[in-house]
Amino acid sequence: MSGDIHTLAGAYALDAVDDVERAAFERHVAECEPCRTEVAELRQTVARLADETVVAPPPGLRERTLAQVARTPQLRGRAAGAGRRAGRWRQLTVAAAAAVLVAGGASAVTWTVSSGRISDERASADEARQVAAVLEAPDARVFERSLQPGGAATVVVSRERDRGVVLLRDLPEPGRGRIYELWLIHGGEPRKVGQLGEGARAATTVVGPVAGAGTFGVSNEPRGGSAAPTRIVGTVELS
Amino acid sequence: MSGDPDQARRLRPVPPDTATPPTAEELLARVARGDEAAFASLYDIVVGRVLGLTRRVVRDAAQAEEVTQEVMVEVWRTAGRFDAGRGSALAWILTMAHRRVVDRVRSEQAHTRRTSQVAAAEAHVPYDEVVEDVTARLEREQVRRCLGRLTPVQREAVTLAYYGGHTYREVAEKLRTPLPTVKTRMRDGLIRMRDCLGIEIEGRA
Repeated sequence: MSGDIHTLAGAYALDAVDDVERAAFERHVAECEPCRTEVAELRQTVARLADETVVAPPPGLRERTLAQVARTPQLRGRAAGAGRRAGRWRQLTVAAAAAVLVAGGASAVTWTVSSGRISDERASADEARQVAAVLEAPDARVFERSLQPGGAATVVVSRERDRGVVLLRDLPEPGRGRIYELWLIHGGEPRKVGQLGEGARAATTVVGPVAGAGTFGVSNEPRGGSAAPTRIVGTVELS
Repeated sequence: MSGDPDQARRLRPVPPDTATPPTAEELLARVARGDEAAFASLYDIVVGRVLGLTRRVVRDAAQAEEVTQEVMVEVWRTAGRFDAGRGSALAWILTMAHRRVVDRVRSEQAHTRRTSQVAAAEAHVPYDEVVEDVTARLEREQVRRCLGRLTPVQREAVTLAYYGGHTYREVAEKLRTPLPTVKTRMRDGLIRMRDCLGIEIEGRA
């Protein structure tokens, strides 16, 4: 159970997470049997809160529901389940970008494109495909950390695809004339893998190659960027 | 037709020859095989909770009915995916219901703040005393007692998220509490409730 992400178990059971976090958490749970049990128990617990809400159903609802059921075909067990995962991840990719946008909007920050790569819709679709490729990789693993003094980073890494998806949110204001830069650190050697636009405090971006990289880092740098990180605000161990 | 009539019936002495009413799990297994009569019985067992929960979250009777109908049709459609090793049939259905009503509330919020609506609908949903049965009352009291054992922050975090449909970020803002604290309180609170309610699923370490 990797510490930080696992603390989401309660919020997840309560549906108090957004799509990005749900994706990250479900990926985490998929490879963690004790976590699956905990989530099942917390869901069972949460369901008991509905005991408090019981009401008498209005007339008509039963008939309408039964009538709709009578004309609704059922999904057939496993066959339906098999294709489900890929579909869900694809959906979440789109949702992930949307969630970051919403997060940006809510805290009244400008959505600025990371790495200057999403310059038009086509590039954006391309980026979405790259994000999907990582999220759908069978070996994808999720790492999440809170950053100091604020914000959070989620990194999904596929060694097989040699790429990672970085989700940054709620970073503090970088300061006047300053930006955030992204790094992959390999044996103490940081390699620059992207930067956020001026004023940007959230981003979803693909980084790579990730081979050999043990750590992802975010640093606060002067506009224009630095050759090496000068003020690290957070790191995420990728193992 | 609410509470849990199925359990209430089981409390009564049953002559040995009489078949006990099927559990929600048994009904769901039959529903998975396309049994519409089993679906109708399952509907009767769970609809009071599904509707009550969705109403509490969406705070609008008409929308709650819509969501309830959607959820019940989804139960019919996906009954084959229910995994009894991962919890009860009721929890599976309520998980689906909560997720769906929360999605609705959030997409609605994305367009318009629903504050005025919330204020207007704040009036308590009347509980139909007639349909209340002893089992349901006992179960509610147990939930209340266990909720009462949480710290105030744990309780507020859990109830704001569950009944209010809020994300933990929103809860953190409302409670003026740091995000990591809210995350932790939600988990700790639910774990405490779980232990108080005596919920355990096989395979726990």
